[in-house]
Amino acid sequence: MIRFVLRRVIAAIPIGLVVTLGVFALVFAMPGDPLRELAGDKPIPAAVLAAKRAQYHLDDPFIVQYLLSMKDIITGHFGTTFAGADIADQLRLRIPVTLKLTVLANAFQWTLGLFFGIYAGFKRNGLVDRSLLLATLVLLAVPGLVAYFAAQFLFGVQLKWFPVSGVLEGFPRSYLLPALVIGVLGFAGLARLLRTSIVETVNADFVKTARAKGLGEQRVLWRHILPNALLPVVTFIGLDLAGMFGGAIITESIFNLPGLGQFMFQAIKLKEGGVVVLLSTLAFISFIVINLLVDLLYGVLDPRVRNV
Amino acid sequence: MSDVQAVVGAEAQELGDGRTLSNRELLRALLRKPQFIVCSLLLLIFFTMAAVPKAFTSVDPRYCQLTNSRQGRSPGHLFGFDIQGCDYFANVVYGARPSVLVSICASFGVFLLAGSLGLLAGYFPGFVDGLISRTADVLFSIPGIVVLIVILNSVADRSIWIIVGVILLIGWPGGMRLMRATVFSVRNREYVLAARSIGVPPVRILRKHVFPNAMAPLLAMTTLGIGGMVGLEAALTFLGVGLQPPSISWGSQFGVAASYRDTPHLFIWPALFISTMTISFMIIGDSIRDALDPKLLR
Repeated sequence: MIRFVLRRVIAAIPIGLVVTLGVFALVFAMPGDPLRELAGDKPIPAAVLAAKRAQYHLDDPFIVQYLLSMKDIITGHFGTTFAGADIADQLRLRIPVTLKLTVLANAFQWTLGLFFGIYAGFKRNGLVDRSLLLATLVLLAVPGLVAYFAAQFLFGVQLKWFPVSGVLEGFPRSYLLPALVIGVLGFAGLARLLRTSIVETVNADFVKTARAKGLGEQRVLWRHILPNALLPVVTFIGLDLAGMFGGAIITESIFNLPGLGQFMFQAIKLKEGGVVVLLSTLAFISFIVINLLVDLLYGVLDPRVRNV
Repeated sequence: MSDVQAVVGAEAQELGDGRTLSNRELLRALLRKPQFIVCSLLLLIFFTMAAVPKAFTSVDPRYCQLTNSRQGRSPGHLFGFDIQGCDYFANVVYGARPSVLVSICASFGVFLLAGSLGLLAGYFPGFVDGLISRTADVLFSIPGIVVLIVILNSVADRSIWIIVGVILLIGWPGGMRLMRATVFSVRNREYVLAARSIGVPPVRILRKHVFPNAMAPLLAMTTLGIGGMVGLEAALTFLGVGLQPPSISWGSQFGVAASYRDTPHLFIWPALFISTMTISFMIIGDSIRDALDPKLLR
């Protein structure tokens, strides 16, 4: 197992290099001078500009700039943003925001998804099952943008149940509304997948064998049906978690949550290559770790694919 | 978008084993479903709206009087006015064009691109497969929207076609993996082996034998994903990296509505239109998926 993990980590390194290099090249190729944009309309003295350019290595060739920012990431000396904020401080403030949102949203999504999925799977063609199929279509179809705004307007502005935006009211109140919307939009897919999977598993031969052996219903459910039915769901949850960072850019800018997504968006707008690469690296590492965990979990659930 | 891909990817795998339906059979199966007919009619309306907006409104969406700014509905102006005092109904109608164009072109392009790359990767293991699959790995491991924002942010003059192009650039890996997996299951079937044994060139085998028998899952994923493309275009425009003024689009209308919360009609109408459109696409996609599913065939 340790060998499996090591092999995966080593395989991830070249991909990580290509990803960071690609992102850095894209940011590097963006037109415009970031420092001039920072100053707005005011003229900058040439000496100040030169000093700033030297501080951020903006005059170096592309590959040197890339290597310098990789060195910063590996050694942990992140430096400051162009506006002068300490990047390490920013990360300390922002990572918890995104993490809280993700954890809360997934708590909603999994609870709803597992509950409805299992229920619909066992009471097939019942009322819950039929309405779930319809609800999945609608929930998967409604654009996130519409759902976020509608929820913000209805529950924040009109009914005043939740704060409209920002994190001033702290955890969990400020995070409840965005997390609920993400959870409700996402649970449908999870529930539908689980339902299909359970329907297929319930009729499998090994379940009939288990029943024929005289095992109790509970044992059949928990030991034979669910572990097998959960396999595709685990893959789905992995993909979903990995996509959370991208989703955070939109959610955080609508609900004005000062998290990593917002940081990334600002950094792209200001052409801060170092910050964009740092955040991409974070996203990449979390992607690899989540995938690894999913594969390990897969092995726990299904001995046939257990990794050596 | 990724949600849809994941669900379809898991459910559509078995579609590959079904027998291939002819176009007429498929159409007949679809026309038996009332929800398919209703949604097709709705989409037809949206398509006409995109092609000839003048058929729906005679008002010029760019004729504005500031005194009318953010007024509610009045006779002749069903949806009220936007912040510049332009007729909002005309604006919402004209907003259909970018959504329809981006979603249809991007989905069709992604289908072709993912389909051909998936065919190549699945049929030629080794170097070709390695090259395509590793590229997909790289694109997969970074949030697509980050790449979209970075690239679009550096384009000064963004048109619909540039947005479609960038979506194509990063949108193919999901479909490619699905296609590759189905091609793997098809490539050693008897009819492919038979064709190969009598010396049919690979391109012809791929086009005549492998593609028609392996495209069902990808087709289902694509049609279910069209609605997501509509939302993606709106989200990009909302973030300020999509279409720019004076282009009229639902995404930019959301962006404006977000700062004027006391006049909800600015949000409600485009939201209603975009949701109807995405849900119609979704239900049509679902009907096609059902029609292709071998388990539901008699």
